[in-house]
Amino acid sequence: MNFFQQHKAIVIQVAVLLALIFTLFFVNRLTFLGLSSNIDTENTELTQRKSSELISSLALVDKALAAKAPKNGYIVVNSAANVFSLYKNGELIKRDKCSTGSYIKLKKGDQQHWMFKTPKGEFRIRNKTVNPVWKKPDWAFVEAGLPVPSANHPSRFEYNVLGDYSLAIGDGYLIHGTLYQRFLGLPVTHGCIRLNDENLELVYKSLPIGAKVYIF
Amino acid sequence: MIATKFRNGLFILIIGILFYSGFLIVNATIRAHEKLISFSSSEQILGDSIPSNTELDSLTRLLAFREAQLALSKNDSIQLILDLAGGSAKLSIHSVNILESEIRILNEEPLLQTLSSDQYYALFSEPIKIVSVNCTVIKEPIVEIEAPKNAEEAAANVSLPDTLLQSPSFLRIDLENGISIFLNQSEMETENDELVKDQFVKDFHRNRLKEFFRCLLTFDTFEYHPKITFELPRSDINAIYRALPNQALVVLRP
Repeated sequence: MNFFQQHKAIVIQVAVLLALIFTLFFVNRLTFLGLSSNIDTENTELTQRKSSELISSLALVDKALAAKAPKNGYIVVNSAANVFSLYKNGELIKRDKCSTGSYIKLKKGDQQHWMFKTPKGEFRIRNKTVNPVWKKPDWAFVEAGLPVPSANHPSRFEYNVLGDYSLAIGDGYLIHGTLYQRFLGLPVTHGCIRLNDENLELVYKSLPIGAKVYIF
Repeated sequence: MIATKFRNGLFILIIGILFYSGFLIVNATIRAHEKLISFSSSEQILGDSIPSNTELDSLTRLLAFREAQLALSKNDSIQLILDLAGGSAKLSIHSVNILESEIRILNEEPLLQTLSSDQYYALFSEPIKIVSVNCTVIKEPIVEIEAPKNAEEAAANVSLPDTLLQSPSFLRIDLENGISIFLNQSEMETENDELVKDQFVKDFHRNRLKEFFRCLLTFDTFEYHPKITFELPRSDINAIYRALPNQALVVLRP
């Protein structure tokens, strides 16, 4: 007699046990672990009390959440899709293309580099300007292969390139217009947010100083 | 005679390995449940244990979700809200939803359905830490360029905009409590989409299998990870992946 014949009963029992375990596992029915909750539901008084407590807790939390919503208009910029959304009184009033940072890292030797990336997070409109003048930073000259002039050299100032309005959000980043409207919807900027003329005017007129700017 | 003994020995070994494999898998499932529960606070909501009742269950789950959102709103960074019950994925900062995307659930872990109201509340009424994120697209598509030496060289330079948004997007988020969340793109238009998805899923399963065999050989404990899979538009997966900070949090409502 071979091993199987000698221990047929044990082998079959082990095989059945294994099959049972695997079946239970693969159908994902874990009731055999006693995980399901079967608490007695007869106590209706407790249920009612719990229900009203839960409802009042929910109301409190909802109130706290609602209080955090921005009171003024705000703008949301999706830098992955290059789309902005303008909200006023909690309602979406405009969604359209914009341009954000190109993710280009400009290197000049081993010492200097600039990253053209739009920052992410929550910002505020710090100030608003009509007919803004662009004071070109160093990278604008480096990128163009030109020598960097002194801080207030006339060649640093460019007129009519940022559109009719600009809104500063801090650290030199602006929401402004563009001469290159065909690039809207693409990540081509040096970190600022570019809008077309019509949208720029709408954003300028809708958002007061202090309004929130959310960038992701 | 020797051949028979060898065959019997081999048979016993195979039975032993199969039995131990079964034990490892079932034990891993139980441990996963225990791990989930271990993240629960010992405090019960509103004092007493919550009786099981459909209305109370849904109220408790909603309260857990809202409280987690409120806790999340105190954080200064962009965070993720996965409302599986409501069918949406959101990016949020200070309780302002800056992205909302409709999701379609493909697979929800049955283990999570077995939690009592108390366990559910304790587990999901706080934001959960993300321990690792894997994606098929690059987080920051940085292109390094050397500054041109003169104006002529600058004029010849052409910088390419980010085209990675067209790459297939599949994202896996592993949470501190052991849950793994898979976000698959809903657009499956090209062969490459299928290929990248297969590769991404296979990589995960290959690593799990490797881990399983390692545990089998070293008698270590195999960890089971509850899994949730859903799909949403590719552009939203990219936006979520690129927006999440290093130590991101998730509010999850299974």
